[in-house]
Amino acid sequence: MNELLDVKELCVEYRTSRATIRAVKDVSFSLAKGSTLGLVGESGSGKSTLGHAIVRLVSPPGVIVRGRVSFDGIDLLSIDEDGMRKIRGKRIAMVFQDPMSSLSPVKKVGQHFVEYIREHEPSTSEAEALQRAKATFEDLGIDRSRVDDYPHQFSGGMRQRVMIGLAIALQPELIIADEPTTALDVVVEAQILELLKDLKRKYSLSMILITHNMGVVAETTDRIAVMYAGKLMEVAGTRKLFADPKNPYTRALLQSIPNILLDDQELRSIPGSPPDLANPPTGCPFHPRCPHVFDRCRVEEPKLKKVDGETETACHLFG
Amino acid sequence: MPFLEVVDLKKYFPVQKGMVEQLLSRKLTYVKAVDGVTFSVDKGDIFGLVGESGSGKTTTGRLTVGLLKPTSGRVIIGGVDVPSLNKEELRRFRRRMQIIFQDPTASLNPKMKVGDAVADALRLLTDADAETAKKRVLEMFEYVGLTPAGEIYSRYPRNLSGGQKQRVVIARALVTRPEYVVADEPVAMVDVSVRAQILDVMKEMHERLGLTYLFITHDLAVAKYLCSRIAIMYLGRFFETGNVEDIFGLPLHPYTQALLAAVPVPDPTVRREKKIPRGEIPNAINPPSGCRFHPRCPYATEICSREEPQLRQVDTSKASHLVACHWAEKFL
Repeated sequence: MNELLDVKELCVEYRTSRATIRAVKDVSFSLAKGSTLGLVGESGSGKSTLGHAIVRLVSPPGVIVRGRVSFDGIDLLSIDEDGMRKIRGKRIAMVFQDPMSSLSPVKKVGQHFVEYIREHEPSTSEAEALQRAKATFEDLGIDRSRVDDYPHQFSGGMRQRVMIGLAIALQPELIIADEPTTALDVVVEAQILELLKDLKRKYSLSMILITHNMGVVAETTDRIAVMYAGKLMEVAGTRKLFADPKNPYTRALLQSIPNILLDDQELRSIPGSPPDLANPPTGCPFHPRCPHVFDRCRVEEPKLKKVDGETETACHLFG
Repeated sequence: MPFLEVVDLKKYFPVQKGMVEQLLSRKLTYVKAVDGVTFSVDKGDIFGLVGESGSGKTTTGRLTVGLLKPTSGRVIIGGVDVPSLNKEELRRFRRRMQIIFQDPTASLNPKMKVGDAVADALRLLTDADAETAKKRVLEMFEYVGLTPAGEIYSRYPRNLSGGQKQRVVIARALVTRPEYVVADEPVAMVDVSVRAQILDVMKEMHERLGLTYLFITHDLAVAKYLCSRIAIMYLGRFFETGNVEDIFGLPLHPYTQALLAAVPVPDPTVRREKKIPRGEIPNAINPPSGCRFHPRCPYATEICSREEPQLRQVDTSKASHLVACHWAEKFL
């Protein structure tokens, strides 16, 4: 396997005077070159923190406590900030949920591209950078002339296209997209997901797609990592995860989601709610809600391990 | 006789303009949030209003419970003409109809014990005394699964999970024993693993209390799961309405077809051809001429840009399935 990214036992904590919240707990996974990994979880599961930690963008009071993030053989957690800047944006780019807060309202959209490109490649001239912006606009399905427009002249979906354009402008190898379609209506969401798939093919990108939407990961990813309370509960190939989920949390989640293609579907709701991370349960974080809970689950935290082919799961039911 | 009857309902909001613009033109411009909507809901039914943001579904919901005055048109609930009620009549009527909002945190006063908040709502709308109110709140908490009710009663919103807060909001809406409830995206802001719980509570309350719901959602899968009839809205108009089985079985409007194709399906073995329309919902201040969907529609012809299609029956075997498209026969 040709791994582009390898994360080992990564731990991130938010430390305040009142409590220490373990937002990412001993997370290990890898991403093969050219593939898309879906990182799914509910709000507060730590999926977004994990995405940010990979490029060392955890903001205080968040701290990367330990672990290893190896990208194309480079240990990202040990290089200096200068070295990191050469990778962030240039080789690993991020796309966030809210495009408006990332674009300056007083700058033409093309100017955002020019500044971004020249920041990372100072030798590129303004004219050249603007040409590249226009070429990127074609990839995005936006008229080239609109580089002269301001962000407010774009609709929500167009702005998200622009953000994706900025992310690919420096031809990165990996894109981390954090809920890129959550704020969008369903038709625009479908357009953006199609765009991401097209760009991925065209430029052989690898991608981590962070989302709470099981439908989105089903349609766009090769593998899925399921997160709950800071912990990876299950990692498996996308088809395998849906066909044969091992972890009780994954199983419960899949049974609780309405599917538009099914008639007279019976939903099974999961009792209780996700844990408060300032005061997490002992043992397995899902044990208070788990239908298969037994004594060991209350005291010992299960570790992620291979249970069936490529499927890894963290559950005491599997030894 | 239907329980809720809405006839040619319109709501135009005037657009705020700058002073110079106001001086230069005397004509007011309007956002036509709801622009001629007609439907009825039978007692005990769940009717879904489905659409993207800006479609007018929330405005329609608010108009039906008298939170907004319509520009024109009629809303009749249980024989009462809602827009004609004065303030006092509306207050008395309000215990019979309730609205559940999307964001449970914004709907609850952070400085008030949730039990007291619900009791207050009850006392405001009925003549229940403090003791009776508390008793009924505790009963209602049990009913919607907020247990142990006595303990939850004296908690503050910050000490409840998102799902519990939404249950409190549901309890507050139902404690006055309303006949009609507008639920405006009640699960949109609830955690994924808690959504099914909330949908179940709503379904159960509907069955046990014989409620009539107007269920507003952007989520077609949720609408299919919960509703018996739905309407697809776009720029203030109904594009298609009918039984859930009919619309999901054979959608007759190109926009409905596009919406259904766009919904991501949680099943990786499903491979569907996605015909996603270009562009986004245009501005409601200047909606397109003719059919409002025509600039994005793959089937649009000249007539579509000229003439606005009206809701009509296309499949003769399905009397309640109506569609507003000049070319709907094509899809039979």
